[in-house]
Amino acid sequence: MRTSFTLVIVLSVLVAGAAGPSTKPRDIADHPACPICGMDRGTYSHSRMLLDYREGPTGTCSIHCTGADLAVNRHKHLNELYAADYAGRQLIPAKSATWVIGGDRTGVMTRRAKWAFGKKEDAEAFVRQHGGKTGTYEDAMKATFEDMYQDIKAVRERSKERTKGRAR
Amino acid sequence: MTSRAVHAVLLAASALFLLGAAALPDDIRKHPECVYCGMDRDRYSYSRMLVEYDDGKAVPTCSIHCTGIDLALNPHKGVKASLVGDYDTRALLDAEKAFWVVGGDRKGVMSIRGKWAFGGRKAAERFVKEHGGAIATYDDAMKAAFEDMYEILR
Repeated sequence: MRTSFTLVIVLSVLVAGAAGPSTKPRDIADHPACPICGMDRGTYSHSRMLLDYREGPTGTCSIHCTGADLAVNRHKHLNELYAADYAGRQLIPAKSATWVIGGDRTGVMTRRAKWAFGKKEDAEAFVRQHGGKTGTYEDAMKATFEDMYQDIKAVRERSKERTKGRAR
Repeated sequence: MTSRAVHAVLLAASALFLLGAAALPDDIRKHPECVYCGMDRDRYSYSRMLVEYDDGKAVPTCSIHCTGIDLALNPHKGVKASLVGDYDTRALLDAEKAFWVVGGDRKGVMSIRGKWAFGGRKAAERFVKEHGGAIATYDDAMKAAFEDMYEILR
């Protein structure tokens, strides 16, 4: 009897451990790092995205890396595209979200930030507090590609500086 | 046809094949296909690119479009050299120093809007006079490549 009870406890702990902390969204547990830049999707849970391809999902850190992934995987079939709600961190359909482009909050992989909001009023409140402009997913993705080369160059420069710093 | 004639034809064909291969620029012989779209880099020798990264890796592509994809997928890697095929001579040029033409009536490679590189300003101006488009820097051309990438994705 005692042995069975101990076994149940041990099994429960193992199952709970495998499931991970209950606060971590499932997509972050499944895709902890962005495959393009390697950044931690938990740290960037406010800008992360999830591309649900028929061929298998991909989790990125931002709309910047999502743009790169879409460009290289044009042949793949995209079932749905999700973005984190900036206000609540949960995943929402990216194409129907209200996006904010710009503002005073530092962007992820970009100088000009792009954030998604599930509720239009949250996006408008953000703009009142931090600046930027509300737009559609199309506006945000267009801005992403407009910024892409400058942003890549900035990331490359930062990496070079870090490498130099480590060498010193 | 006699056996001697058959041998002569085969020998001539082999010689032509070898001469053709030898005439290919070194980078095309080493990297015949674009790593992203699989297109023949000899056929697109006038738009092909070759990016050499600091880690020693070389990435051959058919065009500035596919090079843009490569840069986007490798944002942390330092670029040692960006080379591009001269539109007129097919020789590899330093892409940063080349005179680029964006647009014009010649259909682009992997893109509707053409982006072509020239070794000299006069050659670029001659192209613009004949085919339209605007003279640009490598940065302008790459920015246009990303903007056009979005249009393709829409």
